[in-house]
Amino acid sequence: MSLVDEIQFSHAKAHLSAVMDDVVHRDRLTAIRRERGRDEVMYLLPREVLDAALGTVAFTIDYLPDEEGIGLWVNDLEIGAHGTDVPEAQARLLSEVRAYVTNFLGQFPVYLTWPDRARLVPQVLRLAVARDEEQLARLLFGGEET
Amino acid sequence: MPGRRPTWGQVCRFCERQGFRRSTTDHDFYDKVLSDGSTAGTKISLGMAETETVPGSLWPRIWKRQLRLRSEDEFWRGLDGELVAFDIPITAEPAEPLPEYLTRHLREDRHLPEKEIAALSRMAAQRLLNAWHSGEREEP
Repeated sequence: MSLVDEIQFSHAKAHLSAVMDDVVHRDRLTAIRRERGRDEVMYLLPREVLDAALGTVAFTIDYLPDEEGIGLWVNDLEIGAHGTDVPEAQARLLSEVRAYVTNFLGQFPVYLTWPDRARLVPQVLRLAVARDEEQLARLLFGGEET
Repeated sequence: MPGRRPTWGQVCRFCERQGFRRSTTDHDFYDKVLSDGSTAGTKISLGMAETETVPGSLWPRIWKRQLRLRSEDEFWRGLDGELVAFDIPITAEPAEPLPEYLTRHLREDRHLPEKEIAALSRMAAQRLLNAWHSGEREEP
């Protein structure tokens, strides 16, 4: 039996506002269960818990100068971008990363069955829940919180 | 054919000829499950001109880490539709002299003596260059 508070789908549906208050304002992890021929469950958690769970996920970017400018490469995710200088390459890499994450989230049903992609889920989630472009850039390139 | 670089269009054709699975958003993603259950995969931006050459700094990463090929020659063989050898299991990168862009950084930006440069592994040297660009200025 799960250690997380569990409620039935029909109850959650009827009391969604109270459920969200519990999750968001009282940091209560909640599982919602639905019996529909098979056992279905989904988890609700506040942003702070997700941030803490993913807080240790880090990214290393290799800087690779060449004759035409500079390439940047995100290790592990194995994606790169190129520009004539570092700011241009960083801007392009941000765009590449957004596309990569969007595709990854869309391909979850497939990628979760591929072990070497499934192990990238923490990194993909960390990038996916970045609040804005600035935080996404900070995750990848470092820099102080503003 | 080391030194020769493909166009993005050729990378697409390689993936199609080698049976990569394609999914499209505003980019084309190509994935392939290899015989050991691990995967290879690459991505082509739709805005990228087919005839544009893959940048020199990215090409070694693309054939080795994304396409997971055993050697660069496998790409050109695969582009012609021949069977290719994937890097299964992944082999460690052999110890090689530091590439020119790293030695240049260590000499010209960090002014390290030759003896110290010679003692640095490629990974350590790359870490120093990364730190330089990300503003951390890590010491060797």
